[in-house]
Amino acid sequence: MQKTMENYARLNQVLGSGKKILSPSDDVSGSTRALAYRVNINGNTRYQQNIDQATARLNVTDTVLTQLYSTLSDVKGLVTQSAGGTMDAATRTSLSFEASLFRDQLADLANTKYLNQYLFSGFRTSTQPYSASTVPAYQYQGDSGVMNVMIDHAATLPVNVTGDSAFSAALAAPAVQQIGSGNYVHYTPGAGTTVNVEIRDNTDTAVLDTFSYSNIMQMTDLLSTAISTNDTLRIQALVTPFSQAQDQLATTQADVGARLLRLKDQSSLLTQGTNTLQTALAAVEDADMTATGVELQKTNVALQALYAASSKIMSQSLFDFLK
Amino acid sequence: MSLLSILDIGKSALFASQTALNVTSNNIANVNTPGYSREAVVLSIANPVSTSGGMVGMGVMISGIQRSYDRFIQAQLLGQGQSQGRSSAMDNTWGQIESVFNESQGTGLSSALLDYFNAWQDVANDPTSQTPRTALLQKANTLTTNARSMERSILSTLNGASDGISDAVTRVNEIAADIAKLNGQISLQEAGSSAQSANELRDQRDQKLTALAQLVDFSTYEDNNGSLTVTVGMRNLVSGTRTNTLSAAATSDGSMNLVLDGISITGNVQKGEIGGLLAAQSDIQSTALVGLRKLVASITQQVNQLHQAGFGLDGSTANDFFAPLQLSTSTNSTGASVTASAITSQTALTLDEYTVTFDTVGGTYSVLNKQTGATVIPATAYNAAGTAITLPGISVTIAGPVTSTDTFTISPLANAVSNFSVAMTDPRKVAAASAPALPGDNTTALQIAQLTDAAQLNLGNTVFSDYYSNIVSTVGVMKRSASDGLTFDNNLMSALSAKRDSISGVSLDEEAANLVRYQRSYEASARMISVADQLMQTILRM
Repeated sequence: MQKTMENYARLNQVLGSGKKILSPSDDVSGSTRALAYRVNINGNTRYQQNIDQATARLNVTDTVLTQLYSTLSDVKGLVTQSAGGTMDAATRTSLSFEASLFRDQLADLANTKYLNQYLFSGFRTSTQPYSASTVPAYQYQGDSGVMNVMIDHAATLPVNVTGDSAFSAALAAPAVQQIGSGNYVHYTPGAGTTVNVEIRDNTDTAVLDTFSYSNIMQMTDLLSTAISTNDTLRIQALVTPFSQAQDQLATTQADVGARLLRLKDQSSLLTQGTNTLQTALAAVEDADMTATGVELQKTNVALQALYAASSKIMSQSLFDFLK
Repeated sequence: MSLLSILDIGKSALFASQTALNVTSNNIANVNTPGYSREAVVLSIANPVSTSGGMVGMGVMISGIQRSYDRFIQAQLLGQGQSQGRSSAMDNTWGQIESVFNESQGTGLSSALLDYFNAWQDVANDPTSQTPRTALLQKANTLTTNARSMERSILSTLNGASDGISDAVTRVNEIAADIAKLNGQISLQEAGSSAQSANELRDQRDQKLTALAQLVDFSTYEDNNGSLTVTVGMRNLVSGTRTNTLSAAATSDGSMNLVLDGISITGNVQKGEIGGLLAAQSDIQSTALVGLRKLVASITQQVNQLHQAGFGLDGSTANDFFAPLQLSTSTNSTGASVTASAITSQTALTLDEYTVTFDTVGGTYSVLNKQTGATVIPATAYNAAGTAITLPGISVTIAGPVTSTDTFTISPLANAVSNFSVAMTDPRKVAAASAPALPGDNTTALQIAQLTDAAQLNLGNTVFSDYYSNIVSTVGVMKRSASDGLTFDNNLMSALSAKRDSISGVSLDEEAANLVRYQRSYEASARMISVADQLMQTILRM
């Protein structure tokens, strides 16, 4: 009777908690597997959260980069327009002013904050990357730190874009070009993303002009000044750099797009994985409610029968029959 | 041969019936007495006399009152009782430990551990913000609190086992005193007469032995006087009417040492409640307790190592996240002591516990790994003026005269859980960065978060969660085998008890039939006496 009662109590507990493993000793290998499944599911949930946060951040980055690209296209249009050098003073003034507006717009976009941190500053997230008051103006104040987040056990993904790689037109090796007026222009890479430019004469001997830039803000700033002073040589020298900067921005955008795609794929992989794990966990741990209910009923009936039988057996003896 | 002899025959018959009725009613009265063996009257013919017509019997004689007793079954019951006592104690104790690690009911360390390392990922995702840092410190506090409370539960179970051993020892001594007294009484009653058997007293003594079997394993030897000698752990507990006192004393590492008749018998007691509690204590200490401590120590060591190299938001560095590990030593010596002990390098610790033993013949000491018994430092000269012992990350100095039985224990694990606490309160000092003044730098936070996937050398090349899972499954296996053993022992015990009852138990039906039988024979004997009386009166009236 005691055994039946113990069984009854246990079935009750199983039914109440919905789990057929009530303690590790009930099913040691099962509970070990259940623990491992839980750890994995927890990890997947965690990575999923990381992915969601990373996706949000990269989406914002993507939007800003798109706007930057379109502004840069407008600047490029300005360059093409003013490269001919056939503008009058009034046009030049207004174009120069437009260029300076574009420069400010580029700087504002590059200074975008997300969750109160500067998006494009690398690790120096509390430092504004581009400002007019630095010397030289619009020099990149951030660093090249890459922020990684974990999207799987041994997999991390960078979630930021640093200004020095996105907004520059850095050169790998020195280049020489001949511009429309016949002058030779030498582009030499300097420190960091700086490019030093030398404008020489038609014979490529005498140096007529030198300037340097390290990012698109500085380039646009130079453009604005060049337009107002009608320095057509400089304007023409800036044509190729702007193309290169556009390509660099496009590459950066493509990279961000690829990352977003990777995150999406990883997210669905994790969701699938979590579903599989949860099914396995339920198989190990969860009680079949219907079967347990039936079992409980059977045990109850057995208990009742036991009670009835015992009371009959225990009450009779020979003494009942002797007077 | 005369009429008077008929009276004598009748008288003997009356007495026989009367005694038989007494025995039957005694059986009926004791139908529910535990350990009572059914008694039966043994009747025999009284010596016949020779007469002219032949041999005529002189009535009935009671040659004895016999106890239905099977010595073999009794011995089996005692043995089984010892096994059952052990199984019950182990099942009970392991059940308590299991509830500390019961993940499916929400206790245990797994979720706190996961939450803690997940909190580091939150910091890595957003290193400049205060919120994940504050949350990290909270989760760390939850982890330390949970670990500490788990250790407290385990320690209180161990203390409960020690208390159980002390209580059992007291009961053993009480039972021993009772057995000694019964020995005296039985010897007295059975002295001289070979037929007499002190039935009730023997039943009582058997009861005492059954109770003793539940407590401790023993063996018995009965001598010719009916006096029982009881030996426990190869020393005499009861010998005739004398007893030796069993005592239990706590040792320095939390277990109990049993002493009987001046000799330590702890290793020889395997069964009974005491044996079960001793075994459970030593198993729990070497699996659950050491496992938990080692896990916590490893987490402390690894997180601190990475955290010290990192930089906080305010530029601070070389900060411990958790309170660093501390060395604890325990002394089992009267002459020598530890004069200096320190952790020389937190990162060099292998998280093992060490035992120092001595050999006075060779004047050397040696150091063994406490858990595996492997030699860490082979025999080296010991100088009583002061000997420095160097182990990975540890340096200890022992001085003083030693004996061959002295031991010292050196352990960085003993306080690992009780000291487990968060060493910082300022969220800005949480080191997420790998260089100063870089608020967006999350490399250190990422490294710490990735510790969950790193196989730890000190944990036998497993990751934290696998090591913890091993502890849980070990506890589950031990509990499973203890409860299976108990079920088996219980079943066997029931079968043996049923067998014993079938031999020695009182059946009311049988006794009722006997009652009727002896009542009728009493009536017949009385009738016989009155007939003899009538015959005599007839003769007297002639």
